[in-house]
Amino acid sequence: MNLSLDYVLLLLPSLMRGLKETLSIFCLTLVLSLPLGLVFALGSISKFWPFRFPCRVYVWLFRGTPLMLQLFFVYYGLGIVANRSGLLFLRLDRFPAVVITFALNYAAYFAEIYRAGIQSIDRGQYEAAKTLGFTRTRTMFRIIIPQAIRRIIPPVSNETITLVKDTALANVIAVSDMLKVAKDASNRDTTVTAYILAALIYLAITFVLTVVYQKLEQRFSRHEQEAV
Amino acid sequence: MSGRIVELENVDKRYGEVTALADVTLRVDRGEQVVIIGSSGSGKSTLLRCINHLEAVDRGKIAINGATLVETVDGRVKYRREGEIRKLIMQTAMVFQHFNLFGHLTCLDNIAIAPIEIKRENPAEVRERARELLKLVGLEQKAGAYPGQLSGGQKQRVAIARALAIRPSILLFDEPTSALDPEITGEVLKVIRDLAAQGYTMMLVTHEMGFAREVATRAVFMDNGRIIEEGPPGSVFGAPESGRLRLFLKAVIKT
Repeated sequence: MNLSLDYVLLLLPSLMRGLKETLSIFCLTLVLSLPLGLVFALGSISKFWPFRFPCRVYVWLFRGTPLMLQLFFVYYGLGIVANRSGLLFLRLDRFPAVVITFALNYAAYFAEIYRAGIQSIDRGQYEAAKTLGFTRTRTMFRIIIPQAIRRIIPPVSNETITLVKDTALANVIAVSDMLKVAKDASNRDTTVTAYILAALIYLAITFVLTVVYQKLEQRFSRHEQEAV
Repeated sequence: MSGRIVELENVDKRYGEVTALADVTLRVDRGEQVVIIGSSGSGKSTLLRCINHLEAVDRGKIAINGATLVETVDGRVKYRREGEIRKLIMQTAMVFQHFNLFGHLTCLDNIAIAPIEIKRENPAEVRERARELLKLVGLEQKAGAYPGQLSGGQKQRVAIARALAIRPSILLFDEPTSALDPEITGEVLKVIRDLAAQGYTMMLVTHEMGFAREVATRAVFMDNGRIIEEGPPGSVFGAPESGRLRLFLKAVIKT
């Protein structure tokens, strides 16, 4: 192990490039999957089966198969399909393949979290809203979801932290994320220093996220405090 | 303007094999306070919940302020379209056993949300009115509190203010004190009593027999989904005709 400052400083620029890739995958996946999950959640509790059925199948499919398989399928599988069929738009670059796969996969998990949160809200809330003239849509967005958010935050926080670490899966299709950079450096210099540095950076990210989610949870619990 | 606020004609309601309402015909006119009594499972709450379409009927006709909500033509139940149902049931307002206040909104916002967002009234005026309603139920100091910070009796009083805020033609009270500790039912009953004295049209499902007799202009006794007896409270409570009502009164007044 070489922990000399010189060596660490030598590794940092490439690790930072890897970190940038890791954070890009992480942020894009979240930005896409958080709202997409809501769409699938609302679909899967719809009373209209042509909405409900495909949404449930989607969730089942993406939660029921390995993320790595999905990644191979989207990157290599669709590439093969593209070559055979001539539908070249199906051939994706590594980075978009990763982001699309992760976003679709995490949307399925978020959908289940949202669904459980929404369905945990008491039926009386729907009834009160209905008697006051709320439409079903307005009831959902003004009454139910705002109250479900607090219950949704802890499991979403969990998933988000898992996502930080799952980004490392991107290097199975040779995306130069932080883990890939660390692995290359470690192989080249036969030392574990790069792995330790990468681990510290992952820990720093998850620590920041934990704090952010704690604050969010407090913010959305304001109305649950007991008598003042 | 017609004095008929709610009309039910030959209404049936079943839950699977269980008959909740059987051939119920009832009319409530403006200014009446109709109290519905009966043992648990007699169909009292179902009756209220069919009026504001929380439950769908299996047969019969219901009209609110003279407009038909549902009717039965050639044996087929025909409801109005969803948007029209919504407008009709907003002419009623319900106070629930379990309050059903919106937990993420302050008391003031609980009261103001429907007039502002559904009826599109002026927000400043609505909030002013909401404060007056809070004062009416004796909770003006709780405007900024969340429901989780209130006692059961306070919650129910806020719920009554919320119901009044949409200016309904009729208030539907569905066992408003059944979830409260006995020592705090009084504060809720007082609010209802005041509203009755001011002539608000209301239907009240309750197990508080003394209170029922006191506020009612008419009492309705239900058993097994049917209206068995109906009339001025003096005769329903004082001189019951049917054996079932006599048994019921004997049982509830003993306890």
